[in-house]
Amino acid sequence: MGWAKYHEDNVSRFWRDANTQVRVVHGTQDRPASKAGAGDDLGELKLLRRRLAENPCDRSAQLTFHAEKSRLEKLGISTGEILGVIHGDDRRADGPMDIASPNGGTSLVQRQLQNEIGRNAQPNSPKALAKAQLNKQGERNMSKLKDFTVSTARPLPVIVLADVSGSMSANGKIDALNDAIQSMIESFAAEDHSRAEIHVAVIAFGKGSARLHQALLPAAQIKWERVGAAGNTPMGAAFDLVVKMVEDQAQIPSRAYRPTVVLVSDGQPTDEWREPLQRLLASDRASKASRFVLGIGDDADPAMLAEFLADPSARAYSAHEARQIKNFFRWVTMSVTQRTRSVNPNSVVVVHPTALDDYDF
Amino acid sequence: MDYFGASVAGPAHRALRKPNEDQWLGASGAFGSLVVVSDGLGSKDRARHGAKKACVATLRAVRAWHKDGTGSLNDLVDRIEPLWLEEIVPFDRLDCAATCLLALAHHDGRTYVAALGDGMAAVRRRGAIERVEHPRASGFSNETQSLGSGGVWATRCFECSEIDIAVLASDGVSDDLRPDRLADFVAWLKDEIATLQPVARWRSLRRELNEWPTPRHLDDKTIAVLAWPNGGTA
Repeated sequence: MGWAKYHEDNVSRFWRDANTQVRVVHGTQDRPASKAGAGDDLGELKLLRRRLAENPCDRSAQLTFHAEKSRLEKLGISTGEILGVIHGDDRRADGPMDIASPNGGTSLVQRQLQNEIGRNAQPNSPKALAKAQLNKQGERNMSKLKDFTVSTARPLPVIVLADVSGSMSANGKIDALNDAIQSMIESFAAEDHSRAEIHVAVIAFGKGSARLHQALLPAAQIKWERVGAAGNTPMGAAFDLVVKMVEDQAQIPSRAYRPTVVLVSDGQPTDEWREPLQRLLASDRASKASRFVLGIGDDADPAMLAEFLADPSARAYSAHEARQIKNFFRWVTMSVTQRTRSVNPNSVVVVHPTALDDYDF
Repeated sequence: MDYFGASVAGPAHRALRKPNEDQWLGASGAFGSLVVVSDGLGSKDRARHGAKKACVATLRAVRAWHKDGTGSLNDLVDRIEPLWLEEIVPFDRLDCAATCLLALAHHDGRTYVAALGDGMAAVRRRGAIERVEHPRASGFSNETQSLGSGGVWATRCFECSEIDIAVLASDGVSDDLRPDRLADFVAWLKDEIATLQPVARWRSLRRELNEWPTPRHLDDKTIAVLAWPNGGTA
């Protein structure tokens, strides 16, 4: 029955925690490094990791841990390797300590473990030895899951629809847009505390068509190539392209979090845009995307931009100077990173632009 | 016929010191053997309660369905939500919304599998993996159909002689499984986990779920399995 299982779950949690504590109590100072050459550097990190295992709220250990991790990364040791060594050593190399500990320790934790087996059970009793045997039996079957699971975090796609029509070349707007997108990508790539992997795509519309200027890739893998401005404003074609991208489960799998779509434009669409916009708003997946809009200059059509948002409580922002474009993208960056840090990155995190110190768009 | 399972809280709930909102149940009786997995919707206040009661309601529905002469599978799943609504009192159904996956190896020689909402309900039939759940309706993670918010059950019935394992998993597990390695995952459960002694099996499965290898994973994780030790004989 479920209640019995529930009780067993709680008992198991105790066992797991207790095992962790036992490892902490006895330490592993003489354990050899798992990675040749990286052992000395990683030793400090492992000690910090153990301090955090004992006390996850140890702020000093948290800060030192992240500083040390960053230092090692700068030395050329990959994050995966660092974490692999830490977790590999701490969690797997030794396995959980047997209840029948050969040193016959009498720490509080061990006494608790003995009580868990049975009041009369001694460290070398048949019951305890049987339990230890079961531990080892379980250990042998570990680690296979790595082969069956995906090795990347769930993606959170950010798709930018960038107006690159000829009018964007005036007053440094296209340069500001390029700088803002580059800065956004760099911020996403540097995001350490994210619970999702932020992927970015840029659809540029101008020069008579909409095209995928930057394919959807993890931000850390993107080398931004600046985009030039020329031609008209085929925004309807851009809407069709974004629907096609979001609906394609090969590009955005079902395990992904809801995408964010950012539209930036300085003028009226020059192609048929109403039907493509309706297709976007009616589509099963694209309609669920979080949407941000920035109209640049006086020629942008606020009514059309509001239709794109399709949410009376949302607001289409406007910029009249190049620096305001950068500030808008800073706000988008902040909103997305807040989402990825939240417990459920699918939830809509409302970050008001006034959170920026120089909000002016 | 053997059944087993394990459930652990995900890092998101551990960080918030919240309990596991997945539940599983395994039971056997005159009806045969049953496993149920339910995932309380994370955004709901009483998700854990809803998931727990989904398991209880399913067991009650199976017992009543068996007692009434084992009708169609649709008859069985239609009984679950009313019983669940009865069980969750005094809380609101929307606060308790939970998914529900079940696999029942009935004494009539058939295995009934049904799924409402995200997760995986799969069987290995003549060596090939067959999944029962509907594709995710909305297309993104953490958005699903459930008891309490409506939805359509996916149902299938198999001859026990044709299958040797049925696996239920919450979306915290199924979303991170590689589709091309699903058969290997099921084989691992059958050949390496199901063959362990019960305590070692349970500890091993829990350990695997606690040390889930996908980076930055968040969700609670639950697996429940019905396994036929010697092929498909109930």
